[in-house]
Amino acid sequence: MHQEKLDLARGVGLRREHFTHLLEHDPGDVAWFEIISENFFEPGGRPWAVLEKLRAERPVVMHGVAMGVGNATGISRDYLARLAALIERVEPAWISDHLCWGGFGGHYAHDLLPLPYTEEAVRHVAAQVRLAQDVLGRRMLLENVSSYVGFEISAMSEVEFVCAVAAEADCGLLLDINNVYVSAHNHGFDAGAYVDAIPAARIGQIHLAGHSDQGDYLFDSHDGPVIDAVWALYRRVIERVGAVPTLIEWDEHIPSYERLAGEARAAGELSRSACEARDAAA
Amino acid sequence: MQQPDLAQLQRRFWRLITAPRGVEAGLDEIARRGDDPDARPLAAWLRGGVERLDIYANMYFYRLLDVLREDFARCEARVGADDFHDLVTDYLLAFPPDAPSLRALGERFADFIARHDIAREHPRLANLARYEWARVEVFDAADVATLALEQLAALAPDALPELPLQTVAAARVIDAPDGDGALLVWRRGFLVYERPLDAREAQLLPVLAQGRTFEALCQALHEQSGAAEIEAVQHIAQLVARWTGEQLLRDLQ
Ligand SMILES: [Fe+2]
Repeated sequence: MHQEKLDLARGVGLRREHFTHLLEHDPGDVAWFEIISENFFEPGGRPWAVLEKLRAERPVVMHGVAMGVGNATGISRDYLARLAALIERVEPAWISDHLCWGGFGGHYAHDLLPLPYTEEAVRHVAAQVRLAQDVLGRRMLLENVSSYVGFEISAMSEVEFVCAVAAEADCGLLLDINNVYVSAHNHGFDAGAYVDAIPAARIGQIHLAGHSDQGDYLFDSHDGPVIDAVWALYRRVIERVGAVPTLIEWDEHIPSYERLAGEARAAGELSRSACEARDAAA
Repeated sequence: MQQPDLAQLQRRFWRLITAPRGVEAGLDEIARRGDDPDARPLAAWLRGGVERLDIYANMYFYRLLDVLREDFARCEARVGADDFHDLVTDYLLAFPPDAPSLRALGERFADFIARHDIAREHPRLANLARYEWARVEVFDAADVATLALEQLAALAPDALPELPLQTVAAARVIDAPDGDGALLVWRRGFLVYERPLDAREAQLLPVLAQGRTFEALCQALHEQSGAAEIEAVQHIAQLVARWTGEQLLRDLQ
């Protein structure tokens, strides 16, 4: 069991740049895969051939980018129906989406847009998440996003908002540590205090990724390796809460599969050593 | 000034990040029209300012532009990057994304081009876009079992007339993007193939998207071309053998 949990620290996001490799080779050291749900809304061809092969070899989880739990106009019922059909076909270990809004009036930004941290938003988002969980018949994880602007009407901190939504919706959290780091820099809050404030029992998954420095802000570009400061925050979380399924996201300048698997191995080793430190302290 | 609620805030944010010439110009437009008096000053509701909101505006536009550049690479090569950029700007104003998957973004692009000013300078551009979109569509269309030549060979002669014929989901018949005539675009395994069609095949194949029996297809050819029935049967038999070899027909048994 302990070993299994440690293996769960070695996940990667499935990207089409690796389709050929994965069709021809074993996934190697990568213990599990995350797919972007909407990329599998079309029914066939090569993407599904790769997914069916991987599904037979490793656990797969579904990560959505378009549910829009924070959309003022509400989650689309049609979207939920399509997602439910996909869940039936993929049989994911769990599902997740983002704590953000993503469109208006039936249109999609295809982006993760920031919410104001108000009581109104907590109630609205939590009700939408409960609705989605009811329709899908399962609990979901919500991911904290990177952001570049805040709102004057916000009445609480980001981490207070995240925890309040999770408590009221009774959902899990996908803690993206790179997003915490990026937003902490952009808005001037303490990333360490943020990750410390997330209840251990709610953390169902962790994301790690690279970002880029744009001078006066950090940009969540997923275009390179995880930086040391993010690894340090990761260790801090694992030493507190124990092993958590962890996944490396890499979306631009995508490296070879071997390089990506190496990054996943690094997460696995760091998780193992943080767990040992935790056990020794206990 | 009253505090905006979630819907008001999102409406404003949405208008500004989707404004075609950037956030600053979007603010000017809103001020000029006077239909959202609270939108200015930005600092009254947003922490971060115009430059930070422009990050979102740029992400919105350039992510969508990138998708269309990839799906319509030959269209972009034909008109050049600048004109393609402007064409996409116009397209997104007319048809903001209305599907949760980026894969659907280019669905109306060819029809939009056909009605756009650019069609005057590039009269075949819409055809080219239709061709590129057909390739996108067949790439991930549903997988279906295909009829095999052995099955055809094993068929009892009296079963032939009732043999159901239907093309696979991953097949499209379109106008050739350049030159005349029709083009077949279809997927075999994971690969997308294409070949020109003669006039007869161009008439018969689209009918098979819905499905016909062998006999009904012979009848259709007989009526279309006035070919004698025996000739029609021979011709269809040849076509069916070819299409089967090309994995174009479903296994409906
Ligand atoms: Fe993430």
